[in-house]
Amino acid sequence: MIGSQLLSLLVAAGDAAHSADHGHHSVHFPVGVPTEGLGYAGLVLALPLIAMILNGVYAISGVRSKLPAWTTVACLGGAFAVVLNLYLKADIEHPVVVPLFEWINLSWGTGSISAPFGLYLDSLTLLWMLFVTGLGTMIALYASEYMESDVGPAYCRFFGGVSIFLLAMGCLVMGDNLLTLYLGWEGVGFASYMLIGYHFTKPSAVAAAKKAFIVNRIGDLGLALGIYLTWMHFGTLEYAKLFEMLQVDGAVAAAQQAMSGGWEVSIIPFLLMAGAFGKSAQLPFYVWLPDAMEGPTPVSALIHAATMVTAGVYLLVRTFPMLELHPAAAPTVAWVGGATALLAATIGMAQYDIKRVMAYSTVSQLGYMFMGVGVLSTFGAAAHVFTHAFFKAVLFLTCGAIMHGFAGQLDLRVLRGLRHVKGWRIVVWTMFYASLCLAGFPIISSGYWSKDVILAEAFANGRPLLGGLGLLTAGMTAYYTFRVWFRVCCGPKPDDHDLAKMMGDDHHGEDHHDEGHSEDDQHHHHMPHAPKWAVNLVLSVISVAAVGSIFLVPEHGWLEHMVAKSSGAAGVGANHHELPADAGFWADPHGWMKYVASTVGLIGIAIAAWLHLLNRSAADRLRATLLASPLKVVVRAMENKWYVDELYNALIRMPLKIKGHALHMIDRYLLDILVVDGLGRLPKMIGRTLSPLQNGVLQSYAASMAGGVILIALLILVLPMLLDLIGGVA
Amino acid sequence: MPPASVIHAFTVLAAGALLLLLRPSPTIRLRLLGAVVGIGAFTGIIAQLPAFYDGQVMPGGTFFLPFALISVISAVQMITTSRPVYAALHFVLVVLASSGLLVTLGAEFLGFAVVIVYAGAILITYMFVLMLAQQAQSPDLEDERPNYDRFAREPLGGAVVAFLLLAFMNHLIFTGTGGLTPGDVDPIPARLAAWQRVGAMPGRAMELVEEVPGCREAWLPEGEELLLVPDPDGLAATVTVMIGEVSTPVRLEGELARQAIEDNIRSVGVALIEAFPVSLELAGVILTMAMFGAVILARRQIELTEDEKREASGLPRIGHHDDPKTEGVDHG
Amino acid sequence: MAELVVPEVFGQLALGHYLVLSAFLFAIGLAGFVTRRNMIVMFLCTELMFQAAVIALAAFGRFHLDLSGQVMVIFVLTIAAAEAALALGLVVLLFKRQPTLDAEAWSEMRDA
Repeated sequence: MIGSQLLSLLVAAGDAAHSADHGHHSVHFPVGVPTEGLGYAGLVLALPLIAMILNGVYAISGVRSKLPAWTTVACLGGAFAVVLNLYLKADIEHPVVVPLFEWINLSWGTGSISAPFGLYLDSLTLLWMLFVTGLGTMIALYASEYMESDVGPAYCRFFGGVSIFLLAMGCLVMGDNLLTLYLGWEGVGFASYMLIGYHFTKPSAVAAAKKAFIVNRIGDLGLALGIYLTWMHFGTLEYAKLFEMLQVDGAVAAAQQAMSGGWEVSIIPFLLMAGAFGKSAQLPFYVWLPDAMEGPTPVSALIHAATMVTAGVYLLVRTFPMLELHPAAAPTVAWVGGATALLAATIGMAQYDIKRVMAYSTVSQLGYMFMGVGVLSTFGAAAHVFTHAFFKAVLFLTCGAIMHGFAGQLDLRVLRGLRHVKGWRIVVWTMFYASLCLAGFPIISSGYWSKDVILAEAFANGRPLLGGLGLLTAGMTAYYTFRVWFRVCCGPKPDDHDLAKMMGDDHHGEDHHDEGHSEDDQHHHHMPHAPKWAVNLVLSVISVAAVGSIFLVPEHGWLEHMVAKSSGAAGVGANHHELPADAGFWADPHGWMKYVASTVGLIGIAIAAWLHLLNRSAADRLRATLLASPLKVVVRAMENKWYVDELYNALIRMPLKIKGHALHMIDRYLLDILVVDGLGRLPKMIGRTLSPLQNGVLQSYAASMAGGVILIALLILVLPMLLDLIGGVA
Repeated sequence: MPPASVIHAFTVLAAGALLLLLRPSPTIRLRLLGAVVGIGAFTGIIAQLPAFYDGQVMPGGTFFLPFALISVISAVQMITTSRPVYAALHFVLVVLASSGLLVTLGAEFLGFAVVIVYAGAILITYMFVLMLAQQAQSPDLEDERPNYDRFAREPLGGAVVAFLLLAFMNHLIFTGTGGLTPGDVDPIPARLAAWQRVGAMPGRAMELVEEVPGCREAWLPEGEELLLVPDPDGLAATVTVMIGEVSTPVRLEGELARQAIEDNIRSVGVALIEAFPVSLELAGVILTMAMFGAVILARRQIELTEDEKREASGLPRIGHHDDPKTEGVDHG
Repeated sequence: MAELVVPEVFGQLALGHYLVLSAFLFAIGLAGFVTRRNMIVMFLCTELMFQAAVIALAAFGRFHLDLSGQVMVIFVLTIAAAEAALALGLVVLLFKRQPTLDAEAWSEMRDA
């Protein structure tokens, strides 16, 4: 009964989607077929593995040079080269599966589970791996300089962690089944944990690492359950087979799948979503990402901005056909993404720590990506992932360079005038360009192109409210991005005394950036030092890549082509709306969005310029005014990150803590003292009671012997009687 | 009242009686009371027995009850008297009474052996040791006897433990061995076994054959087995012997047959040799070792110096001139 | 030959009679062993318990018409003799060290 209702509902929804979305459900995409001769693709995984092992060897043998860095850079560079080679050789129309070795193959009475360790090489995989290995190589190079003060075992540990990350990310993206994906998923989680907690002697870093790990666990539980249910229902975890089953006839096939599987199948997309939200820091799991900035800045740039956090987007694009298993799945993704984007942007506006601003902007941009997936624009999502990877890496790396040069100083109220300081030119201007991208400056910024696709698609998909939220967020993004840049890079030229005052109180090279550095810190009068060649080279290269991505992301471009031939194909066709010839300007969101989004971005930049460039004291006055007005609640809430951490604390951590304490008390007083100690004390008591028997008097020993005989006799006599009695009663 | 409770009640009574008697220097009246109660309890339990044997047998036997009472009373006297020598003498009484009981059980040999070994040998040894240990004390004066003889140690605990065990044993006797009436055992195999033992003793068999009228000249050919065939019911047997030059079957029956199979000493001896030869050897070894042990334990312990040992074994004494210690000092 | 199985005068006796007697003697011996302090008397009590065993063994043998019971009694006598020899040797030894027959005088030999 319910099943048939659900089916009709689903079919109706599918029909509605058909009419509203111009039939994008029926888009077919090629499914990978096993192939020979591409075994060398395994090198993409093998090279980071080699780097990891070598770093371990270095650590053991006490290498105290930059050898770990060069090894890692070389291996990751090699991996990038292999990916590039694969891309050049690959025929995007014909994805391939490269079987590497038998991994898991179990069978029992009626069932079986097999997960061959293979690589699924389609355009989506290659797209992701290109920027993952490319950025990985560049950021490892950057880190070789950034981490140089730690040369020694910690240096080896850092690069070992980076290698593990790349290995796991490779598994995640290239695996040809969900189990391999899960392996990589947990692997990147581990690498993230390890690198956030790099300064493991610092309590805040340890706490952040734990937080990241635990919050991710919650999402990962969803993913694990989702994979389990997928296997239960479809009987396989291999993408190729799954896609075959799912794209028989678009939504109807999915609805039939959902129908035949009952509710267990329709919750699969939501479970997968939970995993994605955890890894990609979306509501309600986003809280770990800002804290993850405790890790060294290259880690923040690579893992927590450019690559790992996009794994959630990858997962949803990869399993995009499964989103059809429930009609509410895609809207959920869209709304969660939109809400996260807005929330994170509002928090980002009120932070003073530039790295934290970047962290919230990352959360916010990830929200855009999910919004893209949710409004059925995998192309938009993937494009934004791609562009964001480059410009956000640049932003983080420039923040890291500043932090490195200024001994941990990250407060934008302290830093100023970097533009005029010698040696910082590349940092300042790459940061400027990356800020333009993040703000969505028209035409010349890559972020402009990718963000517009998502926003326009939101309107085109009949979700104007969501689109409006996105636009608002875009304005905020432009404001807080340039707030940072204007504050840090512009302003009056600082003299040597000012520069010395700007220095943080960190030991050189340590990634310490607690909030609330005292502005009048008089203890550190050493001067900031400008970045050296490695940092400058990396910043330049990635910036060039960010510029280059402009040419790849526009509609009908290279990237759309890549996505269109992958499992995300269904989310691409929607861009090619067939508009009536006489449609007005406002009929095509893709048309007017270019102008509207530009305008919003420019307004944001203008406000930032007014408050932080032209009239630098106006910001404080505005803040004071707002705090005096009834809006002060909102301002306070924004500065305190909407009290989300506190809310989680009160709602989740405190009850758990109370429960834990209660259980601890039960364990300690009831179990330990009463039961365990009681059990221990019982023989002791018996022993103490009976010890007078051991009095050395022969007769009492004889009496005890006789007593023992009597006890045994009683047992023999009484036990059968009791048994008889029980038997009689029964 | 169910008989088992009666038994246990009597056991408790007996325990109470023993407790009375174990009191240090009790009055005559209490001793009498204890004795009467104890004897009553014992005979009470004995009197319950026929009921447990389905009336197949009548209570009592001419000699059983007297011997049993003597042994029990003597045993109680033995453990309650404050004079160790009297205790030993009471034990002699127990041994004598039980020897009588053994005779009633058809174990004449054991009856005598027990008297000889216990009363004759073991008890004399005890007496010697007692006299040796107590020579300094006057046995007549109550107060001069040591406290450890005059006061029982934890009489209550001892009585409780012992009589709990007794209750357990009685319970088993009255419930677990009900089927072991004489009528339940088939006597024929036992008689056949006895005839077999006789057959294994050709000399004895020939003695019996010679008792048969007209068989005084019977003989057995050198190196031949005696052919003895018992009747199926075991009450008689046919022995084939040579009379003159003729092989003749001779019937052993009636009084002769009874003599043949009830010859206790011979039977026990044969059973001992036949069935338990190794145990017999081991018993001999144990006795020998016990003798050695007793000798070693009891001999005087003398600490001899090295020189005395050398002297005893005919070696010269060690002189002072070759003391290595003084030499070392000289060279140092 | 009926006399062989159940002798005339004791014909009405059952195994239980002897076993009850044996049990009484054993219990009295045990009570004596536990309550008496004189080492020699304690050993006498063990002899009393041996006597109880002798009677029981002989009675069982008799009522099963099996001579093994009597053979066992012979072994019991052997052990009793050996035990008496050793026990009395020990008593003499102990008495030489400490001129008392009180068993509790030796209680400090306990393992404590």
